[in-house]
Amino acid sequence: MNEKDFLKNEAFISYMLTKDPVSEKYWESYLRKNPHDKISFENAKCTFKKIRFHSSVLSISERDSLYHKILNNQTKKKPLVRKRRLLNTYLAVAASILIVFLFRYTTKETPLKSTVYVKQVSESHEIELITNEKSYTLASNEILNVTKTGEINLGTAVIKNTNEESYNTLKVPYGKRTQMTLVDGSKLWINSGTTVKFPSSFNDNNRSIYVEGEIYIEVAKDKSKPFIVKTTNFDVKVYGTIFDLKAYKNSLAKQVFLFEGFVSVSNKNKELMMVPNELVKIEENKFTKEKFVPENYNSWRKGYLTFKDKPLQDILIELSRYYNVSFSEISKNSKNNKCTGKIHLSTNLNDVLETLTILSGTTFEMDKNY
Amino acid sequence: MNQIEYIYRLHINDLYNYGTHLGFEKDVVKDSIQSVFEKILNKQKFDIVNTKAYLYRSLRNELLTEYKKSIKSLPIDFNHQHIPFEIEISIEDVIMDNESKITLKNKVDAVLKELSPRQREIIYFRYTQDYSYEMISEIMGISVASSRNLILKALNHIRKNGLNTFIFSLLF
Repeated sequence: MNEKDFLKNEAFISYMLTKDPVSEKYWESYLRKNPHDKISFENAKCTFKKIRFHSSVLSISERDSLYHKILNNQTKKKPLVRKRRLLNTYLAVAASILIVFLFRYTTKETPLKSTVYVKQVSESHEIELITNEKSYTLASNEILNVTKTGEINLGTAVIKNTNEESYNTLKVPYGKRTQMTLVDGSKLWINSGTTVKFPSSFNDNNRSIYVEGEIYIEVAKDKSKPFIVKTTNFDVKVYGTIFDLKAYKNSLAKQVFLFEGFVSVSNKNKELMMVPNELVKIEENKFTKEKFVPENYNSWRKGYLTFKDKPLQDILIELSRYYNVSFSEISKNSKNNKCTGKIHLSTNLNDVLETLTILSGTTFEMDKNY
Repeated sequence: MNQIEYIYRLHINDLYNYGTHLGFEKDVVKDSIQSVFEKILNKQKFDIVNTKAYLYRSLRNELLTEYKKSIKSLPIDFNHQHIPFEIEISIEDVIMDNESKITLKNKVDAVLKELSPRQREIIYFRYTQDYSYEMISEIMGISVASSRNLILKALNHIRKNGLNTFIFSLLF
């Protein structure tokens, strides 16, 4: 079966919907009998996961007014003393929930509340595509698409490239993100502050692109032509797979997260094979391998950030890239506060900072002078 | 932030969303959520072990009562089976081509339509929240075995009807 066959198959659909152990066993044994289907099975799973159940939400003001209604009814009914005692109980219970679900400080001293000022970086660039001949500006909702004939489709315009082997450069500035499809059908999600160099068509031997920054990529399967993502420090060789690669120039944390398939990470001296749910950290000449929980690491492209025991400092770096803002110096104490939780990357930065305040115990203030 | 407010803000979106899946009007869901929280505030002691399951279960019971009130004559064999559970799906992917999106959507819609409301309800918790059968049975007030059985029945039913792929695609 190919990917489309799986997606048409009721047994596959019900497996994906129910995640029931019985159907999981069924598919495991199916794959043992049909090992060649493994990659299309994984691809189908990945496509299926894009299905969302429609959800209705209340607006912020509706949520607020409902909450006040609850409280008001309450104060009318109950004498004050009783209420205070009850609130204390909630305080204790809710506090323990806070600890379990949201955050914990790993520093031993009581963390001091501190305020960090947030500054919007005024210089806001557009997404830019530079070909051999010309450069183009892209709106952030445009998706680049390289057609099979080697033309670059910008949605509003089609660029014919005379020199097919030459590399085009896509620059995504801080505060912006985009997606693109390469000539072989591989899909890229490109995070803020990232440069990708790609050809209009690949040569006969391999498929290479260059990346500085962070991408999440679903590589189209092609056994005859390995796919190689090159960065300044290391390369990732791919055989039809999904992974996230983080290689920002001025950041120490260069990492590769493998979601599906097989890849190898290599530099001049060595090559390291990876299997799914492994991440490799690249520090100068050293590769270290760790396990990771997939849900926590590819979330930026879906519009939220999840992190576990992550220093506040690192979270601020990610947010400053995403929103193109800068944060004022933070105190040593708060810098090393480790946070665990989830932040929705809302278009409203204030909402995000509010969540982060709950997570970290640090208050943030927008600096209006900038 | 007040601590009960914290619990409220953490769960309000999920609760509201769940209520609308059960087919109730916006205001009915809001009122029911209000009574759930008022009942918590009225408790002598905060003795809730699993907050999320408790909230879902309470909201479900509130809505069940509303539902009973809304129909004039209750059938003798009334049980929660009668409440609908609707799931609408969409595919969040800008790159995938439209045709494949529509094909996949129709296919999954068809599978979901074949199921009973309670089966869909379990799927909702499995798919969107990744809840265990234990958690789901606590919310829905049924045993772990019956929630499991509902899903196995669903799987069997779909497998039996799997041959009708062609008809499915014509119908929907």
